[in-house]
Amino acid sequence: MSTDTYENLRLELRRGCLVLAVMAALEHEQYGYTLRKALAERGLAVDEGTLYPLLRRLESRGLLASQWREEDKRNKRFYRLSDDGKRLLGQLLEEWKRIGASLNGILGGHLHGTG
Amino acid sequence: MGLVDRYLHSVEFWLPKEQQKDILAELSEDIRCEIEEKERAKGQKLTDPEIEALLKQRGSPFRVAGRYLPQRYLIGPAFFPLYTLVLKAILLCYLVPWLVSWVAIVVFMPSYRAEHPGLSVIWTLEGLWTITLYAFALATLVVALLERSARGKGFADSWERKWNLPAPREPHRIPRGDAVGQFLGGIVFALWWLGIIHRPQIEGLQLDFAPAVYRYVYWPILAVVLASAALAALNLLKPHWTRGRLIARVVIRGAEATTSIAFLLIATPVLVHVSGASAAQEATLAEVANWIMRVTVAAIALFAIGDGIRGLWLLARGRHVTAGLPQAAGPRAI
Repeated sequence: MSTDTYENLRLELRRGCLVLAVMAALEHEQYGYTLRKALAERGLAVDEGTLYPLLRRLESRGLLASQWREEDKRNKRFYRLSDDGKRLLGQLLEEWKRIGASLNGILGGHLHGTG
Repeated sequence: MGLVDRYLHSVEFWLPKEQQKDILAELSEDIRCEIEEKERAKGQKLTDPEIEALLKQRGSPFRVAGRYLPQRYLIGPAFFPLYTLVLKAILLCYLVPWLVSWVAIVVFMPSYRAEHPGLSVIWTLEGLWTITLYAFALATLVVALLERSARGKGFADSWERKWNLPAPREPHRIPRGDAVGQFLGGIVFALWWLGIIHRPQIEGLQLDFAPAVYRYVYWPILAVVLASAALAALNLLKPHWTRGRLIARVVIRGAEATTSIAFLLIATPVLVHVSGASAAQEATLAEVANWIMRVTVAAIALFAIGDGIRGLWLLARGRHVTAGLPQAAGPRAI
């Protein structure tokens, strides 16, 4: 299997998870750079070229609210989850649990090295 | 203007106007935050090469800006198979026949080569490329418009039983039409070749083969045509390829290709005599008659080679029946 194939499938796998992680992380207000750092510290490193366009897409769908504010004498854009975003996050977490339970059943053998 | 500002300026160029200011402010802030953090860790200011390395890691301004733009495409995945089908049709129905005809004209018509000496003969294809380009552009435009008009209407989502393609043909089954055509064609050709069926006569025009044709290829051609007609007759009665008949097919097609090529090697296979015409007129007529004959025979040779290769492929893949019954199909992949 080529490295490209692995990389494409890995990115595909991460894409859906990333939306969930970003929405969950933005229950508390943050600006882009600190959000990126917070995700990286929890093992989900994401480059700025992916994160900022994603934040814009979520905001354009009304799931995030943003505000330019001064901090440390510099203007920064702070994001937080909107009310619609909070509702959707709840639904997505339910779906995540269902998928997790199904996958655990399907992958059980593989995860324990007996598949 | 510093390195970072110049980088941002380059990103700005590729961004949509209405979002430029907003995106750049945020991107600028992100870059400065990263620089500050690295400077804190290092305990001193970053050098220009260090900042350059940091920007390089982010990618080219074109790529960075591109991530902010919505995904756009001219022809989407739903219509792409149709698009490639149209392009292939243009290629096979227009480009390939024209190219083959052009090659035949260049190879078999000395007068054409004389009119376009050397590499200038290549330029005679100019019209072909122009029309091909227009055809490809038009196909792209039409499919793109079709896609835009069908987008969001659920096109290609539904399916009806009647839209199914015909069932795939069994590879070892011989189409009856092919066998009938080859049998009748072979018999008519053999009768004409033997002079039993006379071609229509034009008063004053006499056409005949050169002595070399009678000496070298006349009887071999007749033998091959009769063998081919006999095989077609057998195929008509038992319309499944057997191993023996596939071998016969390959041998006959090989002989057909060989005799056709031998015919093509004869300098002037057709002799023309027109009573009352000047030598120049007769030469022109002879050139045209020989050209038509050579193109026809070249087409027969190409067909024979193609059909022989297909026969070999069927043999190699075991696509034939054993003891009069079709071979059982192997397990099929899902």
